[in-house]
Amino acid sequence: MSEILALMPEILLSVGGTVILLIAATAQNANMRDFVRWLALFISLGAGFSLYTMSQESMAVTSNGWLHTTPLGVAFGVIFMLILAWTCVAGSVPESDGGEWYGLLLLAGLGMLTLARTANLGGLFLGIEILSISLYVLIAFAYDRKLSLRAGAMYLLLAGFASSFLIFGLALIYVQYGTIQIAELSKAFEASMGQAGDGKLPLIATLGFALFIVGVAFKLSVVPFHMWAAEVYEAAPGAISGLIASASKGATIAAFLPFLFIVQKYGQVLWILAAASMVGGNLLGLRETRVKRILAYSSIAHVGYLMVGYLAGQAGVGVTGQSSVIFYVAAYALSILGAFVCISLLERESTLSLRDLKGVARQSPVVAFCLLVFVASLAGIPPAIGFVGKFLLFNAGIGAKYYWLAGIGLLGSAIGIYYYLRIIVYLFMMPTEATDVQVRHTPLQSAMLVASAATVVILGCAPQLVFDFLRF
Amino acid sequence: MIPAYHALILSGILFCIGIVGVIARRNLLFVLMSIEIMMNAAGLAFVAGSAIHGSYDGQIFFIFILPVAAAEVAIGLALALLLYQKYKTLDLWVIARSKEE
Repeated sequence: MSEILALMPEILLSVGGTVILLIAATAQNANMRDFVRWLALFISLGAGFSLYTMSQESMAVTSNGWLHTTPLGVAFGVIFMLILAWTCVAGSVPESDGGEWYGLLLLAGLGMLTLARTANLGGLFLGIEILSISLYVLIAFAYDRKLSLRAGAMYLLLAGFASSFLIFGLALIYVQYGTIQIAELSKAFEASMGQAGDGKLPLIATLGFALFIVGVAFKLSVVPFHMWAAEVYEAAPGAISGLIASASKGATIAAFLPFLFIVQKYGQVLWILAAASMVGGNLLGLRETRVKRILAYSSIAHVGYLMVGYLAGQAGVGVTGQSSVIFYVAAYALSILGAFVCISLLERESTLSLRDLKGVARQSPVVAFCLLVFVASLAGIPPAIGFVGKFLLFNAGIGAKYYWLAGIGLLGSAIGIYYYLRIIVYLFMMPTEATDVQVRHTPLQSAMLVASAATVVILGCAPQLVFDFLRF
Repeated sequence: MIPAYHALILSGILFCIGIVGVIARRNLLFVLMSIEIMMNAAGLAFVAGSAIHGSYDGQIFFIFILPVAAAEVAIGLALALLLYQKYKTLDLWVIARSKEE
């Protein structure tokens, strides 16, 4: 019984997602769509709740060594379920939808949850694949537009390519160590490092971990593997771009956190990746004029910041690094989801460029103000939550003696402020005569946006609430 | 009796063939096929590892790889169909360079 309870969130999401897909296949009318939306919201909140309550009594329950319940996994899982619920309610759905949207969202959530709770390589692989396969469809959801169709196909090919690197890497790791449990792997890794006395890994394992890092780096769109990000974010529906930037990357980081032991060997590589994406992402954003692409490049930089916290999570100072990563995933998700949904409300047929932001403040002060708060949070301007998140990450980085990396991070975010400010300037300070901006949003959407903008500020002033809530 | 390491080497060769296929081919269908080859190379490596260590984990892993690869290709083919309807070609270079909305 307790095993079933321990799997409750996954059961809810997988059954719910499948049922919604079936409903969508049989009945297609407006009432049904509304019903399905609330069902999806209910299921994702239910999954989050069952995960949250699970942590009190059955923290140690594992089911067959595939999924386990750790404080880290619970914290991440609850964040992902809240993101999912938020996306179900606030995101604008393409018109071609008959309800499948929500089913696929729930399945993507299943992938994220699996990644957050996985105890072995199999769960890692399945989680990443369930998540990406749902995302392929969601990106190409408005398939009557050439642009989104192309982006979906591109993401499919590149992500499939990267997944095969990842899985081949996992296969080589398994060949070397003979186990797929991450905990055992960690011990075997340390043993094999010490074995030769020179801290060198066996060839197969070296190759395996290298391929594994390439696969993960692609999913995180870290700088040398970032080329898909701008195109996909631009073409995907706004809510999905936000979901990829926040939850998909957060889930990959969550699954990557148990692999902290590889930092001893690959710390340098990860250092370079982090530095490259903090600088590269921000520099790429400078010259861009399309708003979604700006946010895409900024998300590359944000993954760089996250990796500072990740690196700081190694031996000794683990708690600071990990909790700063969790906090940042939550903070970043709040801001980027809000920003992308705001932009999707403003978007017409073509992609939104900075110039189109002129006059939005007059047309729809609510959306403009919310966008201001989200962008300020992304830029790390106090009192928004993004400032606290960045502070914690760099603080952890300095605590773990990554002075240079923290310095590069500060430099990168200083560069980044330029393009964030550009968005704000175009929103509020540009003179407009005639404006053709029209903002379509439902009352529910604007209520959600205002609520999350308020949350960004409140949690920025009282960050302790996040840790209290996540019990981490 | 073929040693398990030979299977490992074969899987490495297959994986490289897959990489070359993805990079060199311009047709969407062949790129999908090459990705499939890479995934199945990983599956073969898992089975080889399973034989080397005498544990079943690798074989279970292989059983997971199969449906995942199939699901990926199913969506890939659906997208290929739609792409062909819109662009009248499956040549990735042509599709990537077309500028219009």
